[in-house]
Amino acid sequence: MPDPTPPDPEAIIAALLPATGIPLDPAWRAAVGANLRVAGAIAASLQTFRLPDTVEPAPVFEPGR
Amino acid sequence: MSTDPLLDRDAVGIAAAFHAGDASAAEIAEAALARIAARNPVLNAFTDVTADRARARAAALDAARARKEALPPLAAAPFAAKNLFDIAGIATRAGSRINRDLPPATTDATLVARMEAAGGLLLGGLNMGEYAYDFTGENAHDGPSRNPHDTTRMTGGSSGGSGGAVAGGLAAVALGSDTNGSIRVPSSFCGTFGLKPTYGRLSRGHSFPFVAALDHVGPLARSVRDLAAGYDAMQGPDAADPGCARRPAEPVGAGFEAGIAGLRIARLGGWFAQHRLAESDAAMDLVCSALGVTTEAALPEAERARGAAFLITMAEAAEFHLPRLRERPGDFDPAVRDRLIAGALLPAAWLMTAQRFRRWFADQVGSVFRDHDVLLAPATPMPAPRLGTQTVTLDGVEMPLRPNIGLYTQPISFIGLPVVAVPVWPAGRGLPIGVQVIAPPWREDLAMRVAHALEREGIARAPVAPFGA
Repeated sequence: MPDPTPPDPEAIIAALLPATGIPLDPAWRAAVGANLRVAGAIAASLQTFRLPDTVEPAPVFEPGR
Repeated sequence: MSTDPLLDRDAVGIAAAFHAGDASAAEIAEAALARIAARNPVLNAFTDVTADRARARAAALDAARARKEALPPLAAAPFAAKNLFDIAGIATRAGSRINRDLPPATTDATLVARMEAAGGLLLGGLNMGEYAYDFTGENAHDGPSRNPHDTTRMTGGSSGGSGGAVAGGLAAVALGSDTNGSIRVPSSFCGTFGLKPTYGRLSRGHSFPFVAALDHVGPLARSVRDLAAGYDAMQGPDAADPGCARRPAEPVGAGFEAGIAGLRIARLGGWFAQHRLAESDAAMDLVCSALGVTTEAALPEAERARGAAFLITMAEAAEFHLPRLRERPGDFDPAVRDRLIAGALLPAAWLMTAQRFRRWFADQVGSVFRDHDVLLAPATPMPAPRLGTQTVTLDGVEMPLRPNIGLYTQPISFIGLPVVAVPVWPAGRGLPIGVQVIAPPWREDLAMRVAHALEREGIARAPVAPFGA
C-alpha cells in the first residue's frame, strides 16, 4: 500500500476554505498553512498504521439521552 | 489575631478551623478577598471576583453554625472556578474577548453548585487560555496569569489562573478543565495537586466546551485530602452533561489513606522516557525511589495516540467555533484562530482515523493494566518556562514550546484515564514539576492512594508560594 503523502497546505486551503465561509485575511494564511502541515504529517503517520477492520470509532454517544 | 495565615491551610484545614470556632466564615471570606486585592494585581489569577456572593454565603454559614446545624464538609473553604464554568450573573468568557458579549449566565455550572453545596465559598472566576486551546496560561486579552513561585514564569494552561490561585494562596481549591493536559500542566508548573478524573466521571454541565470527545473537569488543590473531598462533593450523574456517566457516585472518603501495599506500580518508558529534561528525570527518580518502583511499562504507539488527540482537538474545536470564525475572526487570539481555521479544513477521514485509533489504543492500554495497577509518567517535560518563551530544545532538537508542553499528558487524556498530578521539588532547584499518577478507568482511588503516599513521605507537596517570590 503506498503511504499517504502529506498534502500541500496551500492546495487544501484553496480547495476547502470557500466551503467554510471563513473570511481569511491574507496575513493569516502562512500560519494556517503551518498548522495544516503539522496536522497532515500526523494524519499521514496515523494512516500508515493499519487498524484492524473490527476497530470502531470511539466518539461519545449514548442512546436515550 | 489575623485570619490571613489560616488561608495557607488546605480546604479541609480551613473548614476544620471554622467548625472549631477558630474563625467565622465572614472573617475567612474577608481575609480571602483581602488577599485577592493584594496579590491578584501581580498574579492575575482572577478575572472576576464574586465578593458579594462570598459574603452572603459566609453569612449563611455563620448563621447555620449559630443555630448548631450540621455543617457541610468544606464549610467556609474558599474556592474559585476557571472562567469557562458558568457563574450566575457573570458572562462566561472562557478566556475569550468574544464571549464577554454574551448575556450573564443564569445558573451555576453543576460543579460550582456542588462545591457550594459542600460548604465552599465561591470567590470568583479564574483566568485561562482562550477557549482552553492553550498550555501556557498566557491570555491575549486578560494578560498572562503569573506563576506564584516565580512571577516571570508561566502558570501553564489552559487552567492557568486555577494553578496560580491555589499556589498563590488565593483559593484553597480551584476548578479546572483538562482536554489535553489543562489541569495537569498548571499543576506541574505551579506545584499543586490536580485531579483529572476518568472521562465522564465529573459533570461538565453548564461549562463552555472545547472538545466534547476529550473534555474533562476536576479540582486543583494543595493536598490529596482536598482533592478527595472536592471530588466526592462533585461526583454523581448529571443530565446537563451528555458525556457524564450514569454510574452512581463512588466516594473515596478516607480511602486515599489506604497506602500502597500490594499495588503493582510501574514507570512508563518508551515515549514517556523521551524528550525529558533534567528536572523531569529527577522528579521521576524521586517518585520511583520513594515508592520502590523498579518495573517499567510501555504504552504502544503513544506518539500516534498523542497525534490522534491533536487531530480530534483541531477538528472538533474548529467545528464548534465555526460561527465565531465566520463572524468575528479578528477578535480571537491570533494563535488560537489560526489553529482553528486549519482545523476547519481537515479531511473527514483524518478525524475518523483518529477516532478509530482511540478505540484501538484504549484496548491496548487496557492490556497493560492487566499487569499493573498504577503507571507513572512525567506531567511536563520541563518546569515552568519564562513567559513569552517560544521554543524548547528536547533531545537536542529545537522545537516550538507550546504544543510540546503536552507531550506526556495528551496520550493519557486521549483515552480518559484518571490521573492525579503530584508536585515534586527536585533537590537543589526552586521550581516544582509534576508527575502523573495514572490509574485504570474509574479507579481514581488508586491514583489518590499513591499520591497520598508520596505526600506523606514529603516527596509531593504543594505549599503556598511566599508572596513576592
